[in-house]
Amino acid sequence: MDFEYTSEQIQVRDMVREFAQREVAPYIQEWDAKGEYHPEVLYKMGSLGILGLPIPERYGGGGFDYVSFALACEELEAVDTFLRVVMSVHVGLNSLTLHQWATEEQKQRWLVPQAKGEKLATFGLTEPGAGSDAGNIQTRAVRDGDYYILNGEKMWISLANTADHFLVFATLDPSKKHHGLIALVVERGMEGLTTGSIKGKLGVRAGDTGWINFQNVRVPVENRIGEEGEGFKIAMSAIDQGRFTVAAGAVGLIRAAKEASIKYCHEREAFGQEIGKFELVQQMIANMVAGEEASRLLVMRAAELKNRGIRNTRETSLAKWFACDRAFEAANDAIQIHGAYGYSNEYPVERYMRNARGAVIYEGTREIHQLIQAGYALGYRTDRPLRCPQPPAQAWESEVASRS
Amino acid sequence: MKIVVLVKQVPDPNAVRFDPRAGDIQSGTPQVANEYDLHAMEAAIQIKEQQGDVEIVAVSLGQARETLNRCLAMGADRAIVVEDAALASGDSAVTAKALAAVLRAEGFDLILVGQETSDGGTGSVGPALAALLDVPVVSNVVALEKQDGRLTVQREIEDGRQVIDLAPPAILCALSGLNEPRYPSLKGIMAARRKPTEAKSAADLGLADDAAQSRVSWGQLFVEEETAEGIILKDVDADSAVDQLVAFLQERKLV
Ligand SMILES: Cc1cc2nc3c(=O)[nH]c(=O)nc-3n(C[C@H](O)[C@H](O)[C@H](O)COP(=O)(O)OP(=O)(O)OC[C@H]3O[C@@H](n4cnc5c(N)ncnc54)[C@H](O)[C@@H]3O)c2cc1C
Repeated sequence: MDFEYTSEQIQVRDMVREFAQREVAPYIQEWDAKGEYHPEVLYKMGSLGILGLPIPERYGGGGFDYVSFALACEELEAVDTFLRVVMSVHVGLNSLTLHQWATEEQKQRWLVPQAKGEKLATFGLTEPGAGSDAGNIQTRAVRDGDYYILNGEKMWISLANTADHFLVFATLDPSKKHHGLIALVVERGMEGLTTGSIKGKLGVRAGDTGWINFQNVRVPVENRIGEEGEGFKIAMSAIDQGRFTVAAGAVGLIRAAKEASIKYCHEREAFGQEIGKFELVQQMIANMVAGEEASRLLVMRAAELKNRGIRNTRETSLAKWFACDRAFEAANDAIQIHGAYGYSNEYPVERYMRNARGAVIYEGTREIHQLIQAGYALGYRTDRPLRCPQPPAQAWESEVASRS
Repeated sequence: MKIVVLVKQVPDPNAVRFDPRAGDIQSGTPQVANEYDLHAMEAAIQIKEQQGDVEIVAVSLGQARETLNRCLAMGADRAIVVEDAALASGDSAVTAKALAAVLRAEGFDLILVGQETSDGGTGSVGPALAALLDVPVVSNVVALEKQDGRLTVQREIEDGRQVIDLAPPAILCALSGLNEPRYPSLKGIMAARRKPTEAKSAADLGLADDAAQSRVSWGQLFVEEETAEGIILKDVDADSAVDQLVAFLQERKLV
C-alpha cells in the first residue's frame, strides 16, 4: 500500500488547481449570486485537456490514472461544484462509458472529439416521473428500419443546454422494465430535439441544469451503444464512474469548508479570545478533518480498483455516500462557525452548503446508497460479470491484458 | 543550441521545521524543486520558444526524480541525474566538480542555474562551475534576451540593474525576478512520459575515487538563544504609549 502520490499525479493536481484558482475562483461568488453560467470555462477546460484526463491517449485523452482524475475533481469542486459536474457528466457518465461499451467506430466518432474537448457531452437518464427507479423510465424508442423513433422527456440533466452529445436511455417495451432499455447517442441538431433550463435551483447556480425533450427524433441504429436490452447495465456502469467523480469532488468541498472555517476561527474573536479556542468549535473542525481524510481514503481505494480494471460498484457507492454526507455536514458546520456572516454570501460557505446538498440526491440518493451497502453486507446483492468490463487505466492496460 | 539547466531537489521551504533534538530539519520533509532553478528552467524554455532549434537538458545531482519529471513536463527535452549518495552529500566544490564532469561530457552553449539553493544557500555552485569550465558567469540575473547569437543580460545590483552583453558559452544564475515559471500543462505532463532520464554514477563520469571528499563539512544546526528581552506596552492608551516609546529610544540615543 503506497499512500504517496507520484510526481505525475501531483503535477496534474497542481495544474488543475492553478486553472480553477485563476480562472474561476475570483468570479464564482458573483456568478453564483447572479445565476450566471459561463460555458467558456468549459471550453477552456477542454483546450487544456482536462475533459479527456482519464481517457487513453489513443482516443485523444490524457491517459492519466484514476488517482489523478480524483485529484482533478477534488481541486475543481474546492472552487465550485459546477466545475466538477462537468467532469461527472462529460467524462464520468458519458466518455468513460463510451470507452467501456462503444464499438471502435463509435469511439472514433464520439469519444475522440469529447476527449479532445472539441465536443461536450452529457448523460440523460432521469425523467420527470423516474429518478431512483431508473428501470421505470418512460421515454420510448420504437424501431423503424435503420432508425429508432424517440419520444419523451429527460429532466434534471446537467449541461442539457450546452452538450453536443447526449447519452440517452429509453425503453423499447415498458413492460420489460430494466430489460427493455437501450442506450442511444443523440446529437444536438437532430430534428425534434429541444432543451431548456431549470431555474430556481438551491445550488449549482453557476451551472447548467435543464431538460431535454424528444419529439419523433430519428436516431440511426448505429447510434445505439451496446445491445438492445443492455441499456440498464450500461447506465449502472456509467454511474460507477459518475459517482466516483462526485465522491472525489466532495472531498474538495469538505477541504474548502475546512479551510474557510480555520481561517475564520483565527480571525474572529468572542469573549476575549479567537473562536478557534472554544472546544465546541474545535469539535466541528475535528469532524471536518476526519470527514475529509476518511472520504479521500475511500475515493483513493476506489481509484486503485479502477486503475486495475477491477469491479468497484460497492466501493464507489460507499465513497460517494460517505463523502457527500460528510461534505454537507462540513459545509453546514462551516456556516455555524461563521455565525451570521456564514448566512450571507459575503463568505463562500453558504454556497458550499447549497452545492453540497444536491450531491446527497443525485448519482444515487443517500437512501439508495444505504440500500446498496446493506444489500452487499447482507448477501442480497452481488455483482455479475459484465459483457464489457470497466477497462483499466492506460498505464495498467498491458498488465491487465497479460493477466487474462 | 544546447541549454543545460541545473536543478536541485530541496526540502520544501514552506514545510521545513527545525528538530532541535536531531540538530537538523525534521526528517520526512516534503521535497520540491529549488525555486530559483525553476526560473532558470523557465528562461531556457522561453529561449526555445523564441528560437526553435534548442535542446534543453535538465541536470541534477542527488535524489531528484520528481523535480526532473517536473522539468520535463515544463518543457525540457531530457534529463540526466547523478544518483551518487557520496557526491550528493559533498560540499559545494564537490557538487561543482561532479556537475562540471557531466557538462564536459554533455557539451553546452549555455548553462542556466538558480542563484542559490534554499537549503545549502551558498550561491557558489554557478561561479565554481564557471572557474572549472572556464566560461564567464553572470550572477543575480533578472532579465535575459538572446539575439543574433549574443546575450543581453540584466543583473540585479544594489539600487538598480547592470546591463551585460556577452557571447555564449556562459553561465547565468537566475533570480526569481527573471520570469514566472509555468505550471506544466497536461500535454506537457503527457509528453514527459516519453522523455528520457539518464542516470549516471561517479564511475560513469570518470571521477576519481577521492572526488567526493569534502573540505567543508556541515555541523549541527541550532537556534540562537534570545539575548535581550523586549518591552511590551500593554493596557496603555496610544498617546502615552508613543511618549514612552520615544523616551525609550531617546534614552538609548536611537533617535
Ligand atoms: C443538480 C442536479 C443535477 C442532476 N444531473 C443529472 C444528469 O445529468 N443526468 C441525470 O440523468 N440525472 C441528473 N439528476 C437527477 C438525479 O440523478 C435524480 O434526482 C436522483 O436520481 C433522484 O431521483 P429523483 O429526484 O427522481 O428522486 P426519487 O427517486 O423520486 O426519490 C425521492 C425520495 O425517495 C427516496 N427513495 C426512492 N426510492 C427509494 C427506495 N427504494 N428506498 C428508500 N428510499 C427511496 C429517495 O432517496 C428520495 O429521498 C440531477 C439532479 C440534480 C439535483
